[in-house]
Amino acid sequence: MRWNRYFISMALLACSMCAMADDSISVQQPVESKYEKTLHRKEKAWASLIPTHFAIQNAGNMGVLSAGIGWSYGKRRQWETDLFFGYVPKHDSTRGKLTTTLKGNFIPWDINWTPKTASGDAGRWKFQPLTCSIYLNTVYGSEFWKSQPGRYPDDYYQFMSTKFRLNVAFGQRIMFQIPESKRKRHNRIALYYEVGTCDLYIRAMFQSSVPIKDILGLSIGMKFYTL
Amino acid sequence: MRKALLASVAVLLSSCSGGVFDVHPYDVDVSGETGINKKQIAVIESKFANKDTLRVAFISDTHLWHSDARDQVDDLNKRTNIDFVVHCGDLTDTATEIEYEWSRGILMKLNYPFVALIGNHDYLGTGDQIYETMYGDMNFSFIAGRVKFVCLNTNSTEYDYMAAVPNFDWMEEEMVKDSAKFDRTVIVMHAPPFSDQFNNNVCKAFRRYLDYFPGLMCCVYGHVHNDDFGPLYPNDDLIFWGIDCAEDRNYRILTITPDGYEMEQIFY
Repeated sequence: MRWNRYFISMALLACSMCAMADDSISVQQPVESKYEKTLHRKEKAWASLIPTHFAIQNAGNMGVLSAGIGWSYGKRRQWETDLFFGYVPKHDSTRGKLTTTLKGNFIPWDINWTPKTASGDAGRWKFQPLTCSIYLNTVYGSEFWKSQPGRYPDDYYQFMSTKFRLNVAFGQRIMFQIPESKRKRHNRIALYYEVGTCDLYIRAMFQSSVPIKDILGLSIGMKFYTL
Repeated sequence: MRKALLASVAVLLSSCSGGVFDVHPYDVDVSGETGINKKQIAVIESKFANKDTLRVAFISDTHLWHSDARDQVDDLNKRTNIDFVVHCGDLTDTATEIEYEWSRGILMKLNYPFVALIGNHDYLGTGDQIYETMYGDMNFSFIAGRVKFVCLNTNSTEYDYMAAVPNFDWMEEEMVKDSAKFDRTVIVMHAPPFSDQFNNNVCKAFRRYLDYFPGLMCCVYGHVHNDDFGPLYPNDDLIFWGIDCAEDRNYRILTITPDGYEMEQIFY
C-alpha cells in the first residue's frame, strides 16, 4: 500500500507541475487527462491485488503446516480469500508432499471487546464468534489423480478425485488492533481455530456408523494484516 | 526478533499434529498396531503347526459397511471352533488413513489370529503405503497344519499392468520354499483371474503356474462382491471360491481335514 500511495502522489505532483508550467495562475483542481484517468483506474485495479494479510495455520487436511497470503474485502472486511501452501511430511510414506489450498471465509459478526476510543476508532480487541470456511485442497504427486485414469472402467471408483479435497470448517477468532503508534508491519493480528472435515469423511459418515468426532479435525492459525 | 517469533509459531503449530489435528486424508502416519500380518502369522504358525483339522474363516470387502463388519466379527467370535481368519482385501473404500484405522479396529476385535490381503480400493492415493506399514508385504505366505496359504497380490490394474503383479518369480519361490513343512496349498487373492483388476493377458500362464504348487486344493478370492464358486477356467476342475462383501452379510469357513476340505457358507 505504501509504495502505491507514493506512486499515486508522485503522479499527482507531476501533473500539477505541468499545470503550473502552462499558466502562472495555479489550477486549484487539476483536471485529469483521459490518459491519467486510465492510469489511475488501472493503478487502483492492480492495487486491489495486493494481499491484505499473511496467514499461517496447522492441520486442517492441508498438511502439517500451511502458510499463505490472502485478501479481505467487504464493508466490514467480512469476506476473505486465502491461498495456502502446505506440507505433508514423509512419515511412513516414500516422501513428503506439497499441497495448495484455495480458501474462502465468511465472518458474519464482529463483537468489540474494548470500547471505541474517543476519536471514534474501533476498540483494540475484537471477537468474531463464527467463521465459516470452505476450501479446496490439492496435493501434488503422481499417486494422486484429478479424475480416474483411463486404465479403469468408467465409474470404477465412485467418488471424484484423490487429488482434490473439498473441506468445510467453522471456527472463532480473536482480533487485536495494533495501536497506530506501535505499528511496524501490521495493523491487526488475528488468532483463530477451526473445526472441519472433508468430503471423503462426510461420505464415510453417511455410508457407515462412524461417530462424528472421528471425522472432525482441529486446526489453529494466525493472520497478520497489513491493509 | 520477528523472524524468531514467526519460526517459533511455525514450530509450535507444526508440532500440533496427530490426535485431534488432521494433517491430510492421505497422510501416511500410522499410529497403533503395525506389521500386523507378520505378528499374526507367527502366532498362526506356532499354534497350528501340527494340527490335523484346520478351520479357517474367509471374509472380504469391508469397504465402509462397518456395522455389517462388526456383526461379522461378533458372529465369528460366537463360534469357538475357528483357528484363524483371512481377510481377502478391500479393507477400506477410499484408502484414507482413518479408514484403515477403522477397519483395523473392527478386525482387532476378533478372538482369533487374522491376516489381511490388499484390495484394489486400498491402493487409492498413498493407501498402498499405509497397507505396507500397517499389515506388511503385499505377497505373503504361511503354513498351518502342513498346508501352505499363499496370499497373492493380483491388483494389476492399480499398477497400470506395469508391475510384476501377479509376481511369478515370487510364486516360483513359494512352490519350493519350506517344501518339507507342507504337503498341500491354498491360494488366496483379492481379484480373481478374468476380473477387471487381474492382468488378463496372463490368465492362462497363471493357471499353469498354480499346478506347480504341491497338493493344490483350491483358490479363494474377494473383490467381486458375490458368493460364486466353481471352476473359472474352461475344462478345469480347480475350484475358485468367491467371498462375499460385508454388506451381503455372509462369509465362508474352510475346514481342512487330512482327507480333503469342505467349504461352508455362513449367513449372519
